[in-house]
Amino acid sequence: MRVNSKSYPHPVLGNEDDLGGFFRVAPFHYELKKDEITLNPIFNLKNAKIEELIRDGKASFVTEVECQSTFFRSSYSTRKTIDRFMIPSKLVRERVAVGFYVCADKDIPGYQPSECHPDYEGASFDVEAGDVLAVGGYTSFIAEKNFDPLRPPVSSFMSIVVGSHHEGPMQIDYEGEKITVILSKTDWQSYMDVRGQKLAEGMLHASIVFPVLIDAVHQVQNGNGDYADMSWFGRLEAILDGKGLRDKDPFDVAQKILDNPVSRGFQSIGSLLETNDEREYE
Amino acid sequence: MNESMNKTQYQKIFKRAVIEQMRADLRSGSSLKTYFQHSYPVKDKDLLLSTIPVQGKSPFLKALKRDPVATDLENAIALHEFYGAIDETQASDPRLWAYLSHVEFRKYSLVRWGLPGEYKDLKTDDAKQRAINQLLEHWFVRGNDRDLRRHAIARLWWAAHLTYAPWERDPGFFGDLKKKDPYYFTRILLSMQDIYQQVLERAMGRSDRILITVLEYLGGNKKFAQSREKIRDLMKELNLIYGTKKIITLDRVSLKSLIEKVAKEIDTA
Repeated sequence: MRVNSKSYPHPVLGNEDDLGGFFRVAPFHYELKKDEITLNPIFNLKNAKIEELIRDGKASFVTEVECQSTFFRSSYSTRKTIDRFMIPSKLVRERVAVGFYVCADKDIPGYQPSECHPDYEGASFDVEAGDVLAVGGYTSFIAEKNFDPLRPPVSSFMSIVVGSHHEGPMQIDYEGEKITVILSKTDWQSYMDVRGQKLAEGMLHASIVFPVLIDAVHQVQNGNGDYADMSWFGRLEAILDGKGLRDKDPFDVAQKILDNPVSRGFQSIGSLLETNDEREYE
Repeated sequence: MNESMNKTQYQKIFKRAVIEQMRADLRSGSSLKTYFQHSYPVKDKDLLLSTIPVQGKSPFLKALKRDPVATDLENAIALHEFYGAIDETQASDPRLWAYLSHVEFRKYSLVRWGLPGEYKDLKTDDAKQRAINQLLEHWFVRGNDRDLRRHAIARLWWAAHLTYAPWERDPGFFGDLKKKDPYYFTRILLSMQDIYQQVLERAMGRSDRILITVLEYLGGNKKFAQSREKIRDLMKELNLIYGTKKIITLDRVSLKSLIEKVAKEIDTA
């Protein structure tokens, strides 16, 4: 789960080393059903003062859910360490971002955090309702039942179309719902001849998909703002998170996602040559 | 009355692969000329029937050449009434909106978000590229709400949808805002182009609680609402506050008074 550091007007647990202890949401399970999505966060908190505020009804665990595809942003508050929230499925689509916080429910004048960084020792703060007291990180999921980030079909984030140029190199369009590879008319014809054939899949992955995917992974890992709200970006991000590849080298990541495309490409060539040999001797 | 008028039909949409091809053709410039034409050749094999029920003839969207913004409100309401059965997932589907801008409401899209002049006026590569970018922005959706805010037709439907009778959607929070007119807040949102852009362009607008409470303030403070800079500053300030304070968790009274306080500070600065 990712955590970004920020500058808060008071010490916040989970923000760099402001406070001792921890606030984690693990495990975070979600369940995609036809009509509703269930979120099941388990909040693990260790900080004496913040625990006390929650016990006293002055703060709550907050799960903030946001979907950039459907103008959806909502929050769910609880004081239980294990809880479940339902979101109607129709309200979200594609990537759903989830953030976890502890927020003040009411104004807390003279808030004295416990387990402070020495810089804050003995200091008190006037906290207002809504103020973030702890950050538990961010995650995301794809709100689509048949999308599995651990076994993602390439077609879920990339497509190949024909361009208007007769010959020449392939072009890439990152600004669509999917990454679009644009082939020249000549290459498109050759592609159409082999598309869908199992023997050709390895070659197509190695020669077309692999180089494009390396660059796309690079864009996601760099958090390229130009593409951050594209569907393909969210899907690729979910794949990286799901497979634990977020911080790995794009070259290695692309090979893992495509399951060793170069080896499969060689296998394709080998199989094609064998087939041709058999034909020659027939 | 003709019975077929009331028969439920289902909205046509483009196939996904067709849109990808349309975008690629536009990006290459090969289809740019067609965006000056009043009709768009559509083949049946390019279309799907969606599960969106529609009854009768789709509304006529007005677009005055001299003041196209003036009809945004009535068009938004007409669209929302006609496509009232769409849910949020369907209403963010790129296939639907590309079909509506290219085919169903092509005439409106050409007047409101089309290219000026004629194809032969696009003499340089730069001019062609600018035209292509404008068309990609207003005639296609790529799967995010920024595109929905800018798409010729989607922007109207979503403006109405996000603001339609909030007291019905969340009576516990908006119960005290109940009005006779379900489009009361739509009227505020579309009363000025600046309100729409400034309020919905920011992520704040995704929270209906924040969106409606801001519109409530703007509706009651017309002078403030007429200043583009003040609305922009209000949304910027709320965005800044949101970084450290989850104002989405506030109750209605607290959220309302926070927005009033921030607006007052901007007003008196």
